[in-house]
Amino acid sequence: MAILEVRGLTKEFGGLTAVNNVSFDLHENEILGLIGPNGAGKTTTFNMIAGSLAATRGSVKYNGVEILGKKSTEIANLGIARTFQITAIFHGLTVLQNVVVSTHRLQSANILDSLFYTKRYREEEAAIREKAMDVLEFVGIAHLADVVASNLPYGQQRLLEVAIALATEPQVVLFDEPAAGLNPEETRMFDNLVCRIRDRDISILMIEHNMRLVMGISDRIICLNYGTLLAEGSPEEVSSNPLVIEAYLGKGGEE
Amino acid sequence: MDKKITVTVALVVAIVLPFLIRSEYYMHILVLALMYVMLTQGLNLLVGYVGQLSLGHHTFMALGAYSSALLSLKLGIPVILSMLIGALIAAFLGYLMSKLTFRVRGSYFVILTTAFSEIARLVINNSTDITGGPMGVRNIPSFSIFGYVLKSKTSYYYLGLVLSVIIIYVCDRIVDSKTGRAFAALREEEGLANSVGISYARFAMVAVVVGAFFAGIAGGYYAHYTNFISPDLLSFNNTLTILLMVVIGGKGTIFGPILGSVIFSFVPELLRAVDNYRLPIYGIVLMVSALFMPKGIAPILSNLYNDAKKKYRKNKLNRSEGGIS
Amino acid sequence: MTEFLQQITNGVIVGATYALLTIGLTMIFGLMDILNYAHGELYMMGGVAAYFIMELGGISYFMSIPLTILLCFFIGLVIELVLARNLYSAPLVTTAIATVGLSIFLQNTIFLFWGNMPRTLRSPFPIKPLYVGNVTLPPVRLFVLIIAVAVIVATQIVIKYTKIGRAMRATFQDREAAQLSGINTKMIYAVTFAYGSALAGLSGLLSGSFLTVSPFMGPAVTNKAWAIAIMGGKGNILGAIFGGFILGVVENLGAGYISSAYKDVFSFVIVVLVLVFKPEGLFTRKSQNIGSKRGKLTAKETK
Repeated sequence: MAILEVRGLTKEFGGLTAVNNVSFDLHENEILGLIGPNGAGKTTTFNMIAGSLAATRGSVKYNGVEILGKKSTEIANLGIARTFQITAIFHGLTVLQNVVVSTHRLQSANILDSLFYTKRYREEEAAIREKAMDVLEFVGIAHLADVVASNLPYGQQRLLEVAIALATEPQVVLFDEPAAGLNPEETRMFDNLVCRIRDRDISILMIEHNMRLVMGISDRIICLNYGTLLAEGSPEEVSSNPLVIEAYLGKGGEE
Repeated sequence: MDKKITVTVALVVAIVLPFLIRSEYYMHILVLALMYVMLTQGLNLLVGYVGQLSLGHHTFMALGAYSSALLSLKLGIPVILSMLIGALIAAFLGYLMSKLTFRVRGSYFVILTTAFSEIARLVINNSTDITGGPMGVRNIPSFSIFGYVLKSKTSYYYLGLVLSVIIIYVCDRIVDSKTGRAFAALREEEGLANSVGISYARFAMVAVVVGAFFAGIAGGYYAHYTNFISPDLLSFNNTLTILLMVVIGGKGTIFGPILGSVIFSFVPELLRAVDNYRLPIYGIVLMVSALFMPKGIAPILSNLYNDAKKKYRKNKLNRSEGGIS
Repeated sequence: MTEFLQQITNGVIVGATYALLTIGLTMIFGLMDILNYAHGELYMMGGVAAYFIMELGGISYFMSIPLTILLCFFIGLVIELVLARNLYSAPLVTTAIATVGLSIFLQNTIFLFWGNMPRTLRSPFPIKPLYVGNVTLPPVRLFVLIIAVAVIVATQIVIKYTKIGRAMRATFQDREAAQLSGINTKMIYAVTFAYGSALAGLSGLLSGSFLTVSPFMGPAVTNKAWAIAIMGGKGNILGAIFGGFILGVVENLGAGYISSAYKDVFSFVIVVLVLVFKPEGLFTRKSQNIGSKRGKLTAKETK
């Protein structure tokens, strides 16, 4: 059983069909790349899986359980994390606070615990701070823990986004163009980071325009165009698929 | 360490204060200031931490006041109990309100809170049989505990101090918990907060209900202190005052609203000298504060304090390095 | 039946003044996305200005109308330049406090000149009412209706067919695209704010001709305007027009048949119902709603 089973996922906006009957599987511990020209429906597909957009039709099963139609907060609490195309961080909070806040679903101490400084409260507060620092170290920005997030340079904000997603201890992470705007050096480090995430038994579905990145690290790739699935397979298979090549012709070749 | 010292000093000062102030008049202002401390802490949860503006907070106070007043006066329920029930009623209405309003944000939410409070005002004003209408409720029993009836302003000051300290403590604990962190996340970036499992509906409701409960307590406190309440409690000026104390004091901090409560309780006194022009000046002060001190006074004081600390440390360092130790 | 028609007539006339008032507000809210708590004060100052223009300037009622409009346009311009334009990117709380401060300042400053007494503007119309069937219609009210409708129609024409109207609409749709195509958005904002203020002032003058003018009548009217703007949809001028008339009629029917004490409650009940069940407004299709981040309507973009 695949960890995510998407069947017949469709989104219609009035007369426009943004996503048309898309079906694919995300296998455990794989990196599945999602490519396609701009406007192909990639982020729309993400939004439907993550619960922030209502689907017109279809089914999404997570560990065999139907999640389509659930709210984004419920889906997050089930272990599916996501990043956003446009940088999303908690701007006014420090880097450490950003990650601590994101461990939300792992916490069980409630207001009463805080009120009476119970053992559970104290232990949990220490534990989430430790966990947050671990995540920051893993991502590589632990030295910036006390910096206010809005003061971070762009590349490190992107890393913070990854830390936020990882803080939820997800089983699945949906990355939406995580390397957009990064220079080649940063992209290489990102490359490495995504592989290390996969090695932690996390399954990854990643939208990327950077062909070298996505072809380099993906185990499999699916390609969308005009909302329809064009091809599914290994990087070699997909990159040599004539339909895929045609979809990208005239795009100037993303490198 | 800093925090503990400050809090201890503040408590000591607060306990000793009535002995230093001999004037009934200023005791009265202090009692009201404490009422505002209770009100502003609750509103701050929603405005300062969750980040939504409400102009309906005074409604919860009025509900608490009227409930406690009527329960104790007409049904003979002991004041401590009626205050508690009044606060629970206010909290329940807060619960209902948040259930109805969770889909909207920003200006729309503000208008909605205004609408609710105006409806409440009109209902209370016109339900003369129950609430006495514009005439209000008179002869409300004073607060009593173990048979001892509180009469002096000083005794109400201490009662208010106890209630305020409890409320401040609870709010501080909320802010420093999973819930408080969820509030901050929702304020900073709601979509992102959703993606880590934090739901606006759920946590906004907590902020509103807790705030409403404390406002209800404040309302009861006021009712049993002044022994008379009227629909004036629901005037727009009231909610404006509470809001200003929160924002100009410094929203999103525990200390800010306390500062704001104290300042704005005494400011009208200062402006009395220019009585005729008092209100136009007040209006100008508001505009200027909004434009030039959008984060309120507390952060400014806090920065000054931190800068002073740094300078002090630097001096100490220089001296110990330069001198012969 | 007569009673019913009478209430409707009264409601339509009051509704026309509401519509005028709210068109300005919804334009400002739609374009600049600010919560202006002082809009009702512009309404109040329209009435006050007309009164002083007539009493102190010895100017006729009819001449005072364009003069008041110009004055309120100018006042709105000043407010925009000095205060409002600093608030467009400010958080909501800041805007709320700033505009409330403005409203307190205006109310109380006018109070210093006016005192507390409500006064009605003197118009040269005969007191004897006209009769349409059994429905009474004082001439002044008929005049108010005519002027209000004329200005509403003129506004629609300006928005639809003039260059500046097109520029406004473009800016409303997409501010950045408008700027890129050479539209001076700063000027558009200033003009919109001033125009909205002028309409509010006119509304105050008109309603002051058959009701009253007093320094503290602003807030009640501000609340109603907001209720109508929300009912009609943010930035939706037609919605503001329909909403204004509807509220006027509902209030009068409600006062007549249910309770006059609760007359003011209708606008609030409507707001609650609209925001709970159809937050984008009664007359706006969901897809038309351009929710900016601050005046954000719903957490999710579409659902």
